[in-house]
Amino acid sequence: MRATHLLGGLAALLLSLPAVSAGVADGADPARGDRATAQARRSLEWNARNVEHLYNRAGFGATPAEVAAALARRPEEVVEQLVSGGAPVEPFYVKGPGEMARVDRRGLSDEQRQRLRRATRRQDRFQMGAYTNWWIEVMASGADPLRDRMALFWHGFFTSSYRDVRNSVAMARQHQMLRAESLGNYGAMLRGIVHDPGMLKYLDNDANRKGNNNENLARELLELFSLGEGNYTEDDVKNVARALTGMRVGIDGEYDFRRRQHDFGRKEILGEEGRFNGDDVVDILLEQEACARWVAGRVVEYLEGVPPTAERLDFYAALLREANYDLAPMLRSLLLDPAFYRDEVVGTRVQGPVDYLVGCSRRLDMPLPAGFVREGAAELGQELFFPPSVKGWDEGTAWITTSSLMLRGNLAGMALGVVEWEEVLAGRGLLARAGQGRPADDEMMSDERMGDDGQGPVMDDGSASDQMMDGEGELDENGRPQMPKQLRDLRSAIGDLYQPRINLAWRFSQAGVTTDAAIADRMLDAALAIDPPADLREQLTRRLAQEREALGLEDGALLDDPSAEDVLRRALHWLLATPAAQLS
Amino acid sequence: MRIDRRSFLAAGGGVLAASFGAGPASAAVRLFGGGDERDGRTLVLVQLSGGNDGLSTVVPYANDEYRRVRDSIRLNADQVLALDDERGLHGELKGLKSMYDAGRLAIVEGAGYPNPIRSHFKSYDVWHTAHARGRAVGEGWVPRLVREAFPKEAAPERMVHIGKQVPYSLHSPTSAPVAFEIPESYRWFGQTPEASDAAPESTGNPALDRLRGVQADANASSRRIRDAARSYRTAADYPNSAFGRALRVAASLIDARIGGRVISVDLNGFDTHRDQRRQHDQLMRTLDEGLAVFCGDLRGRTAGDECMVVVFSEFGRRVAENGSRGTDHGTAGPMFVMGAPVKGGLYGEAPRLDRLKDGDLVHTTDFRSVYATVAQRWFGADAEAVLGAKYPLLDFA
Repeated sequence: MRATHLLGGLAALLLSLPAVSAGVADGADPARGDRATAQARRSLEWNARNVEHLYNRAGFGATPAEVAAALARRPEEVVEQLVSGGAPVEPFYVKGPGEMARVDRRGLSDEQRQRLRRATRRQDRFQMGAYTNWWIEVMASGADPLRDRMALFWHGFFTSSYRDVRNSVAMARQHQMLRAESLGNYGAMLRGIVHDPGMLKYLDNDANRKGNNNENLARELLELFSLGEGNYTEDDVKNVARALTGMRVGIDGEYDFRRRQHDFGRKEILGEEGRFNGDDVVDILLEQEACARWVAGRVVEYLEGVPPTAERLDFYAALLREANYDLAPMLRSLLLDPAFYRDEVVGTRVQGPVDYLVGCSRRLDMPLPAGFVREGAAELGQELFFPPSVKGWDEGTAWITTSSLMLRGNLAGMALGVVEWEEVLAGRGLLARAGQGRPADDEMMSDERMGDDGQGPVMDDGSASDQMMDGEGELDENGRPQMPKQLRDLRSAIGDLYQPRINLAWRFSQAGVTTDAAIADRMLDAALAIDPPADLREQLTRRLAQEREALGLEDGALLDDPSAEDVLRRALHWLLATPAAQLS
Repeated sequence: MRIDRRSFLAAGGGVLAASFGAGPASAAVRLFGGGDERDGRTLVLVQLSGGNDGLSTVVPYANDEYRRVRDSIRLNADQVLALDDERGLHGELKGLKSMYDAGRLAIVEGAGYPNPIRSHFKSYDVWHTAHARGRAVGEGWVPRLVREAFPKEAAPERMVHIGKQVPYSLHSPTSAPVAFEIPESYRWFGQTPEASDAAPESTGNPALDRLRGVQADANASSRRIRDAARSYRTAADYPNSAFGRALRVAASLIDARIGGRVISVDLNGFDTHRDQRRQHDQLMRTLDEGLAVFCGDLRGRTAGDECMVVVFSEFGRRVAENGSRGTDHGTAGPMFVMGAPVKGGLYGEAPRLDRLKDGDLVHTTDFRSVYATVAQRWFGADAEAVLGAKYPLLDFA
């Protein structure tokens, strides 16, 4: 039997907290963390570029004013504040199943029952959407930037999808656990996730029974959640699956251990032998050298955008391991590491969809409806709580295709109120040819978004859609062209009463910024997460000058003209659609 | 690498620029930037995501061992469309069966690769790069194919993915694939970043350079793709599923001959760890309905008759079912190759159920033989240059 437990549950975790931040965990070099900090203090240049970079990566961007404020403080102070987390945010109240509408089913016809089931499902989807909106608003508030940045990372790391779990309570609780622990302890999250009802459902562990194993959770636990491919054998997968038998979701939706389904036999896992259960598996995983390396590597790569060198990976894996998987020492050291601010890293990462939209809102200090951010990010490939696979989302250039790049610009235009679908069509003389809408599936999709994964029968009832696509000039009941579903969803997410909460002309006048060049500078500074490329500055200034001249105005007089706001918003829209605006 | 791609674009630039202002009407044929416009050879890749159960697709229905280990999810003799007295296609694959009977469907049995990986992602990486090292190669196999087969072509839409998740097979370090779900919103609204403003010279920031290339590609392909989809006329009744809609768009791009050489679509949901029969039957129906209509639609069209469809999945599934009427990740499985240029029939060898390795099938044909055959015999490219190694060719092309 195994004797050593790295972490014996919550008690050990709590005990370990003060110890590890001082760096006295078993086998640790106590001076290591301090040394790293001292080194950073010597060579980390604390300038606007680096401050903005810190807020881009350890949060969701900052306004020029926030950058200026941070510059006045010491880097250690700023980083410490990020790592220790903000004041608690009022949690979303998750309605339990018992609080959803209860109806007496006796005496209902089959059709009524079916309608009721559908209504219940819809109610549950609404709660998932409401919860997602809540999280987006918290991200955009900047109340706890690093916690939410890391919660987004962990949501993609220990990922589950509503598409399979189909239960907003389980999904929200999983997220609450990950968000609460996102700056805390990796081991606690790992232990939490193997007991998490959402995950047990997502990876089919309720079907993993003694003598009838289902390896789904076991494999992903090793491959994605702890060790990484190549650090375990197929036999390990099989034995871990045996150890995880009986761990499932009870009818009340809570974690449930069914003794009768658990395989109490002996197992051999990663060279250890014993009658292991799920908790033992977590202990064994945390003992592996590969575990800290895998986790540290993933975190550093996520925050820097490029994989760390072997030397830095060693360093951060050691920090994580010596801290018994507390994340704070690693994060603190990383955010003060001069290498985190090297040219290869700064301004070279393609922002993810949530980053881009929340970042636009934060940098421009322009509130966006959370539903718009949610739907917009989903269209761009990052649908929160619906990751494409158990591997989460691919980061970096994988976000960008020709169509996602165009859609980013279109979303920015909608947020700024300068893209109106009908006007665009009419203005280009395409009105007569429009009519690509497909109402039959539109109706279904708006309610049954999740049906589109090819799994359900929802989409496959054959309809008139192809005739519709062939038709010329299909109009809706008001004689307007049918909007593509994608844009219609976005429009409805942004709401009919939406108007951009930004007054650029006023802002520039207040700041005394009036000439083309000065406006361009100011706009670039606020809108971009990176130092602007020189040619972009020229292009923006030229655009502003052309528009101003078309209005017959002298340089410096634009803001006094009634068209100023429109000119400025269109210029900003153009800027947000450029490649430079996609980077951080 | 980067400069190569830009000079590629520059080479076809005159054609692109000329076509851009030319109005929507008859854009198609002229837009075939730089290539041979009489040549419409196209490859359509259909990916069955999640790991398709090969034994439920080409079913060894008469095999006792199959019947024993697939106690609850097996297909019986009356649930398959017999190919011979040993194996049959899944009963839902009616359209594929008639293509097979007409000699236009090749079934490659037991496709896989040595040292199979049971991770979805790592195994896909092998299929997508045609290389055991997966993404370490840095490029998908499709850009290599297109480069070898059509060295003179510049159009960005040579590789198109219709759907959300772009497979790594289309990944190139120098350009992003053209990808979209809905052609009509594949465009910029309002302020369009000018293509001419995308400076070709390097900014010193590789990510920015790459995005500027994407921007130019978006500008160049947006109008052509929308026009192709809009002007497409067909009597074919595509199923109203995401898969059916994607295939319809694929047909419109092929018919318009806008230069798409490889078009990728996918069908999701094959990771059937539990309750497999219900899900898999439905998936087979969706697959069959879509492909039957698609191939029927292409048939008789000039460009359509020059189109080859390859259906694959990242792995098959375990031979024995698991405890939840499903199957876990396994190894080899069948591939389909179809279309007018295909010599139909059974290729390769059915994997033996009595010679398993760790409970899994042993592959009998390397999937790269299918790639190599498509590259060499269909596209006339040097398959070894595309795949980095020599693989035996099959006779379906």
